[in-house]
Amino acid sequence: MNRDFSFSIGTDVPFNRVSPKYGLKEVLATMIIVVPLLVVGLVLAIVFTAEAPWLHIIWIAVLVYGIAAPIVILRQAKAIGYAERADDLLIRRGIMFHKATVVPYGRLQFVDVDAGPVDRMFGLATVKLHTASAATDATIPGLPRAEADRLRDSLAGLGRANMAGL
Amino acid sequence: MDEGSPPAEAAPEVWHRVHPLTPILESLGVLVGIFIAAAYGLQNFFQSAVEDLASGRSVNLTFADWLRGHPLVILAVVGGIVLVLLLTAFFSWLAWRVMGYRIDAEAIYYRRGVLSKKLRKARLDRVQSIDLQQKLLPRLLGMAELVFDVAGGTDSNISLKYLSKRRAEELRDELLNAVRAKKRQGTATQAKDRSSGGEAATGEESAPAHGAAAPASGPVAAIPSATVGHQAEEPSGAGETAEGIDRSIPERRDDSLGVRLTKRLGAMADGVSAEAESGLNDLLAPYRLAPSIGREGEIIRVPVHRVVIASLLKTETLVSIAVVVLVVISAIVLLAFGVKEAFIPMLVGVLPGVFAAFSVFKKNLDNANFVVRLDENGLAVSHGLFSTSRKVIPLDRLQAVCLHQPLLWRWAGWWQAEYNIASAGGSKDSNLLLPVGDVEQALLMVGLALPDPQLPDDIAADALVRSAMYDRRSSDPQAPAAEMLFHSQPRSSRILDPLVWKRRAYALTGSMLVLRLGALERRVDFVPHVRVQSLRYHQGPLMRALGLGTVAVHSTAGPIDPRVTHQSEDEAKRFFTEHAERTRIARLRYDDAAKTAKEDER
Repeated sequence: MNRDFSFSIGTDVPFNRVSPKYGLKEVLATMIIVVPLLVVGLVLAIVFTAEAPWLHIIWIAVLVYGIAAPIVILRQAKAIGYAERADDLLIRRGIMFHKATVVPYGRLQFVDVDAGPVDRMFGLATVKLHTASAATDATIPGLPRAEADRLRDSLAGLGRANMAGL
Repeated sequence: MDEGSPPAEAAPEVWHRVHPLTPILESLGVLVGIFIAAAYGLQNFFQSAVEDLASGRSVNLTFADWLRGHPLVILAVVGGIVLVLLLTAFFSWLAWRVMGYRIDAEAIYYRRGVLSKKLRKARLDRVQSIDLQQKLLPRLLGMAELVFDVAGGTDSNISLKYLSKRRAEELRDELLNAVRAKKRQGTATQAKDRSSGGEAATGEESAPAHGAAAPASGPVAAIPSATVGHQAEEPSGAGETAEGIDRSIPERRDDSLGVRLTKRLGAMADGVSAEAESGLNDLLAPYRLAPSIGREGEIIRVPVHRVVIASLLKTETLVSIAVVVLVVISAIVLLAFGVKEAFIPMLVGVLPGVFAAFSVFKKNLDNANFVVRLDENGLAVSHGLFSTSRKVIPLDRLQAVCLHQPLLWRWAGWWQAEYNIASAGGSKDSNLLLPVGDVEQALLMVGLALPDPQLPDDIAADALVRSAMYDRRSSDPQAPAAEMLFHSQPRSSRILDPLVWKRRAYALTGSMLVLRLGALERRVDFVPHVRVQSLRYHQGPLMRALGLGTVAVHSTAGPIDPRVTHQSEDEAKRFFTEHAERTRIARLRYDDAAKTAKEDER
């Protein structure tokens, strides 16, 4: 499973992948919701199997989703890439929906590093870049904590050096 | 800081009171409501009396008889009214006593509230603009309010109300001087100041606004805005602008023409002269426009009747009128067929629609008497039918501009111009550059708001804009050459954009991106390269099947959301990478111009 799912954006810069643990973390986060749903659906279906046999459809649907979602999520996680170029940060993601965002360092307002409870279990963090535009949706999820901190500091430094368009 | 120091500076704890009529003006709405309710009750009584008289019956005076029997009731009612008035007066007086403002060397403070006390603080060096606003009632009484726009999120305005008009004007001038002095002083110590620049835009508002970044980042601390703080101010240029434009940086090629003009006019004592006109004509030469400057620097005046007709012809007005007419007609038809029950509910149901249409219309009327003046601060705009508000268009903070033509305006050849601005407070602020105007006026305003397009010599700027406005129907002699600059959408996009695929196109000039949009409601977006925030390429499965891609060009929040839609995949990707490079070079050039200017000064 080491295929490259990502699309080409037209520049031949090497993209960094996010941590391989990120896919597992996302799968776990999905399972936390799917597994209880499956159990509840299964129990209900078995209890009321005489009155409402169609209840079986629900847990089967949840099971199908539970099997399909991890495959999609793992592939999506592999497709996320980011490249620190000389003057801007390039992020790309998506298999079905190709998305690429370029954020010039000179446009950075501030940088968030965010780590939820599940993130912390895996030692991961999300870096989010903010510009003056609310439309900028530049998020790099699933970075190892050390890498996230390094990226944040480096972006802050580059932002200062590239202060532009005053 | 010397000549323009506000009066309160000597004694910093002096609170100035606002005009004594303020609480009454503010509660006038309630009083009017009570009055209307009372009038309504009386009117019912009189109406039935009149009807009784008309139909020859004896007037039903049971209520009057009953009143005569109980004279105390009248006394109680009158006493009650007097009591309410006295109480209102007393509480108004209490409220007035605590209302006040204070100005010291650092900030403006405004306090109010008897029970829940409110204190707002705006740092002088964060004040973006000071507007004098006169609503109908205050204007009748010769009063005005001063609105301070402070850089920051929404609703970060301080509104000082009410002052006598003369006092408001004096205070405004004093404060403008103080703010300017403060900012000049601030530029000197910028390096130090900027690191703390993120804090306290408005004392009250800053905490949540500033804190928004930190809690969201959870346990790992975000970079405090202060670290990248100097950029936090960058798009708003807050360090430099009060009402006016920073003249310490000389004209740059990528400054909007209005900014360049203002910088040229800076040295002049009085704003209006032959020099201003020649400067204007000189700068607008690419647009082949020769606007004349009228009395008091007036360059554009939109007459009331044009605003009225234009707002009637707007699509949203027409749609609501059509709906109302349709419902009324169907109600009448139903009535004709003998269905009586539906008639009244249908008419009642249509009322909100009428009110909505009316309120939209009223809002549009607010733009009547729209006058644009050229003065030493840039473009000063005043508008309003019954009440006048004035403001200065912050030309150096404009991020994107658009021209827009509702379907029926085509008949008159009118256009509307709007802009995106870097995060100024006050969400209620309109972003209008021109509410309605002919092509020449639209070209003039757009030209002033945008940098020199930097086109090849054989294409005039107005030929390009006309091509963008009227697509291939432009009658300009240079239209064929200008049309060559436009990249239209490939044929495969006709499935996604059946109506507009032929019209939609983008053009690149040396200084900006021009987007031609909208088949029925024509629209043209302009985004200067130096103002682009970030870019995003997008392709969904359907678009991939058709070999298309879209690139969004991120600007600040506002009416303009520029997108280069549904170009062929390769073209979209090339635009994405090349535009990133193009905007980078534009920014570099823009900064270098400022840097060399600052070094020359030293």
